[in-house]
Amino acid sequence: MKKAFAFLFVCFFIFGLVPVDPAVAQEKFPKDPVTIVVPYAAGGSHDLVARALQPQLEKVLGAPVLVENKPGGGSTIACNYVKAAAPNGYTLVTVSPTLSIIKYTLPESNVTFDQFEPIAYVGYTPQGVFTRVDAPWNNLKELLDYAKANPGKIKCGNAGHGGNFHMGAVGIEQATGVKFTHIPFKGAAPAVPAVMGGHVDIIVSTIADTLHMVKGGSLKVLGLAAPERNKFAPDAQTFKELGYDIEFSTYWSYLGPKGMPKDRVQILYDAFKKSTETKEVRDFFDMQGVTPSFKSPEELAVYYKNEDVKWGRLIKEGGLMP
Amino acid sequence: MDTLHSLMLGFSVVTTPMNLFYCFIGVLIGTLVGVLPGIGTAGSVAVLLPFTFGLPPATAIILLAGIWYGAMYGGSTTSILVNIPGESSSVVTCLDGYQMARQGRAGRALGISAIGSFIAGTLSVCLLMLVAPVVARYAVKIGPPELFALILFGLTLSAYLSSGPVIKSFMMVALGMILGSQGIDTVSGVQRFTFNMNEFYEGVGILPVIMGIYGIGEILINLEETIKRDVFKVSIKGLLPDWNDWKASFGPIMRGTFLGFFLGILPASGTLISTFVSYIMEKRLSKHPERFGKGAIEGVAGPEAANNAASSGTFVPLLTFGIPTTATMALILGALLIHGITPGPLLIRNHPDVFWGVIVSMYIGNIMLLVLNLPLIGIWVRLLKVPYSILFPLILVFCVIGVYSNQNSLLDVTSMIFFGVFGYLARKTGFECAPLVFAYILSPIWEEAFRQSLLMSQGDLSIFFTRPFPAVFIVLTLVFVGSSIIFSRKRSKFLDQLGSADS
Repeated sequence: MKKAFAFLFVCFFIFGLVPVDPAVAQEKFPKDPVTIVVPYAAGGSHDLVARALQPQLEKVLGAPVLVENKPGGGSTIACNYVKAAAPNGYTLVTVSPTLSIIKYTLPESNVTFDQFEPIAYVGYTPQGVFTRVDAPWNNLKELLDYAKANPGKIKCGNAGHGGNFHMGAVGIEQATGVKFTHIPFKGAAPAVPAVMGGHVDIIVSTIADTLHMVKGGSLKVLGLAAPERNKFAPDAQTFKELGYDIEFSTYWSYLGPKGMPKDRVQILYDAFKKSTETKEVRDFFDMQGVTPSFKSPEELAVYYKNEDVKWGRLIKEGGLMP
Repeated sequence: MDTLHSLMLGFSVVTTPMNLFYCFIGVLIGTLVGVLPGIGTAGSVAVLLPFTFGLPPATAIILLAGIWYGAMYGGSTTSILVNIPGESSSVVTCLDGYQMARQGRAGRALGISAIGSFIAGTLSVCLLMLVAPVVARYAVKIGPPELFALILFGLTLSAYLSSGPVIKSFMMVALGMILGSQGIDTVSGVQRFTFNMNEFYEGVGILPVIMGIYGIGEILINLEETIKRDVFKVSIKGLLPDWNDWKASFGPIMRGTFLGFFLGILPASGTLISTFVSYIMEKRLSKHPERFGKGAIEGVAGPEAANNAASSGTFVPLLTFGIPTTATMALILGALLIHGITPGPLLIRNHPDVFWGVIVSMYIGNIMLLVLNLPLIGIWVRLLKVPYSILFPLILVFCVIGVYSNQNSLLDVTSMIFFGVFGYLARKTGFECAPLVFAYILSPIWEEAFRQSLLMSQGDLSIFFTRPFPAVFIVLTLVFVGSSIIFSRKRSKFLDQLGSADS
């Protein structure tokens, strides 16, 4: 009796392990949890956006979605991790312009955009120039006039040498012909009290990073590196209005390892689009100062190519190659 | 009168069953997070954050704040019992807390750290309430030159962190500075000691270093000391601190509170540095500095008060300017924003219920924490009776899980083991690791501040002397170094005379 039982048990066990017919498997995606790898520590904007999307994605996809933080290495650890993962749509990474920049500033990290499969771009926030509330400049034009008359006199804080905000500041210099003294800080957070206390004159940051401080009355925004004005700071001039056609932004895009099946890319893209359009996520974006904007996988691939050209030229001209 | 009125408003917000319940849940989770090594507040708050979206704003912040200051209570527990800091801000508590436990005074160490935390927690909330708006305005005046001078002063004091020879502790300071410089340089983008590994672009994390040196190192040391196991079987003398303990601890707790609160406000400081500074200060002020590192209760009371007060202090820049100075504060900021509340100069006027509700919840939360922690002491002390053969593997498992879960990185586990072996060898050869950890944390901030200052002044060193604050601290440093050289000469002469008199 016992033996028969054991035999049955073994049979069940073996049959249970037989893989599902591949044709069936292709029909149903995702059947396992989908992991979004965030290259930053918990609490950053890429983490928060991923966590806001997570419950909506779960509803649309009908499978659990996990948000996993893999910080460190200036986002290269997470990128290398996802790059090497199986291209089956279960492992994604959320990235910012850093992906386009480190190709040039950190070539040995071996991370470039063309190693990834673009899936979706859900929103962005423009970079801009911010200063303390009682600073002598009230708009971009006043700042640039002063900077042109006093080259090197304006101290510009950024979030680290070679980072997005430093590159944005260099881009502003190249476009307008002004000269800043760049003062790097370790991350965006310590640069803010430095500009409030007058230790630096301006900082380059984004609307999303500073919106609450602008609204709360401790910072003011002078101008934005965007093609049009931003709904969260409608009074801020754009560089374009003054005749400088520059555009720098932080964005929220989702990529997978290269070689993902096209149908899975499509399923994930649809899910991101639907999730971003829900009221919950829209409200969250409004709170965070994220401008919703959508790019399909094809558009995103083109966008990344253009970004690559833009940053490559800027970094080479700026003499910032290692 | 106005404050009193506002406090009444705060009480009316907090004393609803729901808010009291969430306050309790917050401090309970905080205590657990503190006790478990490696599981940090930021990670726990991040996981809980989505659950707070459905709560009213004041309730959400009451819950999350509870985790933050609750962890400061729990962090000392494992430091004292098994020499592993439960939170990085409890590293210093290992130095004397663990020695007290070895002498059978674990209960007293736990008791004084709970009560010290309570006093500091309560007083610092008073400070937060009364001086926050005024102090915050001056805190942003602390820029790179001020930070440089402040840390320079701190580093010269680091020799006081160890009870061994000064030359050995300076060697450890130097090693700590080298370690601290690892990674991509913030100011120039140059890579230092990264060996072309992505994992080292931001240096070895602080958690693998301290958990390796203190946790793994301690296990290794104990493996060869099985006979001395009796030490822990010494009857546990009194669970709670007695009158003498109180007399010794009152000053350190008060000083730790004020020091911690004001250091907590500073942009680059956080809770960890305040504990080191408090420890150094107590050792310097003590009439018997030689007892430090060998179970001095002041060395537990001061730093534990300081980290609690600093945790309140970090609320000042957040609530008054919207500047988060720690990862947990960044998450609490996120929670505020999600509820449509913008921190900043207008917060108190626009959302008095949230501001005063959270303040009052911190008073109540601190009382809850005291009530929660005092009865636990008996249970924790009994944990010491668990045989090593069970306790050590368990500690090892907790260390590995804790370090791994922090960044999901296997290299962090390897680094922890490396620093464990390092800590073991250091102790075998008479080097103490506290100065290394201190320099490791401070020197990157110090170097950055120095170079930022010079960028600000276009390379002119006079920036450190023309501003009043840095000038004062640089002069203080010189006076201090000069006086210790003179005093040490006098003291050695005095000891020589004593020695000759004896013979």
